[in-house]
Amino acid sequence: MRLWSRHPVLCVIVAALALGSLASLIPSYRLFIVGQLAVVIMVTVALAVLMGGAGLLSLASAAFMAVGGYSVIIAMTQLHLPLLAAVPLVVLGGAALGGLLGFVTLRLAGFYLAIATIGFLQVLLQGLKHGGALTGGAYGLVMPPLELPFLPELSVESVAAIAVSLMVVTVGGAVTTMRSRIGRAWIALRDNEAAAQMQGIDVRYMKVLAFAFTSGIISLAGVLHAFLLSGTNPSTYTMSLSIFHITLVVVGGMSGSILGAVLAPLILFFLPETFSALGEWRDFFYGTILLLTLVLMPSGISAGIRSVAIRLAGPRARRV
Amino acid sequence: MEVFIGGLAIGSIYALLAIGVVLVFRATGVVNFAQGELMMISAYAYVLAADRTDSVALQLLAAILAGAIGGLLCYVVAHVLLPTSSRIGQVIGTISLLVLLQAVARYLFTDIPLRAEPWLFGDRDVEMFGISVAANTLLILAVTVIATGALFYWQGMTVYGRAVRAVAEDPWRAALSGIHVASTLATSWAVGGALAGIAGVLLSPVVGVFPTMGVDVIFPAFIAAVLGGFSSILGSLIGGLALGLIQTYAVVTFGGTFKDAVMFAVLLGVLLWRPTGLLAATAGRRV
Repeated sequence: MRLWSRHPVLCVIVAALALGSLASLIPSYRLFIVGQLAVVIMVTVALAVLMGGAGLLSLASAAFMAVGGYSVIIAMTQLHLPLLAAVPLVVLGGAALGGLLGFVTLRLAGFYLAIATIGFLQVLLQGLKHGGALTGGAYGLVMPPLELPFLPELSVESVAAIAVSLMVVTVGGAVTTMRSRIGRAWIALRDNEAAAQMQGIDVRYMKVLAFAFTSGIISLAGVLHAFLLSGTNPSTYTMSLSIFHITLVVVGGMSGSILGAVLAPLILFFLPETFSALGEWRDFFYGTILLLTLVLMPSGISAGIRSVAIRLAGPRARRV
Repeated sequence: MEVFIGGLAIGSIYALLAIGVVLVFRATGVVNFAQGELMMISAYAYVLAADRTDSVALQLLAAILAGAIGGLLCYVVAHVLLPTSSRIGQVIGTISLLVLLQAVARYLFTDIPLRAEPWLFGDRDVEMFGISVAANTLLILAVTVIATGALFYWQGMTVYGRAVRAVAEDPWRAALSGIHVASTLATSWAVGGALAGIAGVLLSPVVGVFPTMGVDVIFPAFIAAVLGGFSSILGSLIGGLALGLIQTYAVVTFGGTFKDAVMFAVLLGVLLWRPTGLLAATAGRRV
């Protein structure tokens, strides 16, 4: 714990490299699902920061995944940018777009915001379906061969391993941000906007920043998702996908806790996918889980784990 | 003129759904994301009833009952199961109902649309102002206006309507003055669901009945409600009709691709220019 608080960057990098190389040991048919899990965790963590941390309900997560996936392919095939230049550019662009959406919707809170984000998603989907050659219409786009300076062709397996590393970096970044001045400001404006403003927090700036932060990470996840599937298809990025992400955030706990946002995809995405147990019962499963969590565990699994952990740690920890 | 009437007809559907959402929102503060799904189950109820009986009254009753029962289901989720939850939790609760109802419909009926027969007038046309208009379109308009008028009377003039508003204002004090809070809330949800039922009966002959028919119209319905300020029945009616006209003329002028983009632009414009809706007097910030 002390090492973490003194050298957070070092710790995150070491953990990312370690988990990434561990992941590359997994047999390749499993690695694909592991890569997808990493993508889902990234989205959930980002949304947990936005919903749980800053208290802004957004249904546009699927839209930003589409932004990431589509724009990276467009940057690489039509603008002929190298991979290493395209990805940061796309992430920055996604963050800027998210910040813009946040800025335009500044005056909206709660469900007004949710409605506006649904609108954003619908418009984007229409644009993708009717974008002609630029977006490939209803068929989407196909990923060109991925090239890195020292690796001629990047396989899906190595993309998955990279996704795992980036996921660790994201989680580390999110945890650090939530513990920083910015994260505390988000929590303050979630709990009471007027009071936060009284404390000298620039509420407008903080809201835009939350949107930009989340959208940047989700765009990166969208890039990795497109890499894993070697292409994009407009029918992937629907409102159901956004609702799925929200389900994961709710199950993880809407308290700005990152732990829950990592655990929820592990339990609700990875386990069912690994045993391919859902089939046509998918929607039933996720709908029921969402409702049950709201009823039985309104603060999510992270709160439940915390109370168990405190009980296990005994009376000494309880005093803290 | 045909375009105008058509726009008003689709606008009426938006208005009916929007009024259902607004009615519930006024009484409970919860935005019902499952309103479109209530419309979908009533449309299925209507079609299934039409298979079994020839009586139009029974078919309508089945649809409206299905909507009302769906509304009560939402009430159970939002208030019985999640009483202590935050507003955002209750809203997400209705989202979970959206997912579940859609999943059930897909499981029972698959994605293939069912055909629904228009009631009362069938496919007849009416000569009016020198043009011919589908009788069904006029019916949609008439039903919407009548339903809105009845609701307006119910909410504004009757004791019960006042009780609903009192509960919305302060449930605790309303209970003190002898209002049964739970049944008042439940009534609002049921009436909201019944409105979705009417919308289902009116829409299903036009587009067919399929599991995602609700999701397709819920976004315009929300915009209609926002246009009306989200708490006014009359505002939602006008908002819905205006949105229907804007959308239809946009499709005629620019083509169907820009349908959603135009609606989004309308939404953003209204939200930025007048977050309290077009009708409301310029009031303080409420969102």
